[in-house]
Amino acid sequence: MARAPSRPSPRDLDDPALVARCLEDDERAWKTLVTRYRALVYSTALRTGIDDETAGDVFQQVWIELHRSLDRVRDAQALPQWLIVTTRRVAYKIATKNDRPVEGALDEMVDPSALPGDELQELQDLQRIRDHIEALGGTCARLLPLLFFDEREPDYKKISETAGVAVGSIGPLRARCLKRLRARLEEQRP
Amino acid sequence: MSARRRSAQEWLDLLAQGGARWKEPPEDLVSRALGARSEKRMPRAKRRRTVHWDAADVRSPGGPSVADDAKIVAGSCPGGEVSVLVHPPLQNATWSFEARIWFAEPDGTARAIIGLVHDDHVLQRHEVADGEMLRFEEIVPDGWSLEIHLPDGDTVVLDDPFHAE
Repeated sequence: MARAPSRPSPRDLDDPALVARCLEDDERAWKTLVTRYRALVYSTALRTGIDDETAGDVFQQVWIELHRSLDRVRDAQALPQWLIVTTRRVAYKIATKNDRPVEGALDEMVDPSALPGDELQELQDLQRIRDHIEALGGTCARLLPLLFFDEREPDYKKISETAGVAVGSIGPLRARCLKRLRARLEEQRP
Repeated sequence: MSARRRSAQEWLDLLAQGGARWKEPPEDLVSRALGARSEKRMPRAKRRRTVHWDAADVRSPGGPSVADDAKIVAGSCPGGEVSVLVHPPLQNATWSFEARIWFAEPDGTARAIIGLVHDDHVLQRHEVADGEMLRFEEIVPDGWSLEIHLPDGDTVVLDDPFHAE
């Protein structure tokens, strides 16, 4: 008897498929979504000029709003943009409510249509790089974020412990992973 | 920063320079975000009825005091009667809303869902009982809609009366 094909792991799904799974109340899909975009949301919040504590409130509120809006997200392919727009508006809202006006706050933080195109492009491109690195999988997906994304800038000893590779291997692995990343980036260029 | 698309080499250079370092949220924040899936979703409207607003005109002695710039809607449909008052922002793009719904067939447990929607964002979602007064404020761009999902499946949609297309 033929076995039913198993469903792919949420980690292997693109955003539209992931959102569809979340609509089925798939807990793992929601966890994957949060994990995929947690740095984008948190960094976007901090970029608005709010402090860490307020950014934490914003972070929480954005995920609540996403879950509440899941049925409405028209273009799940543009989820990063949805998250950026929401984060900026919520940051403005919470900072205003807390009587801590955001320095240089502009209407564009409330009105998504006024979001600066260059900043949006930059954030989405950075997210795209992260997606490519995650898609490399294996050692590269563990090593490159530690080398290039981690704001704490861990030393090689810490990277070795976290990524599970010998300190002496980090240099050669870094070169090999970057080569694979370059190939992916060149493939995807418009 | 420029909106120009970078080449693969430029991206690798940016990575090497540390230009892609984002601050990761603390783990406790991530755990709380995972719990956001308990937030109820706003359903899509099944049967939509669009209702139009009037300028506020509530002047009966002892009646509610309505600012000149507010707008009000009061109407009925098979599922019930709705009364909504909206005040445009005085500052910070903060709108204020007051809504009360009377169900055609109140049964004590029925609830209406009221959602403030902008584009594909549901900014607020509330559940109210028959005749219950709901008041809330929200920072929202122009062009929002208020969706009222009545217990019988009807959805009354009230579009931002100050920026109607």
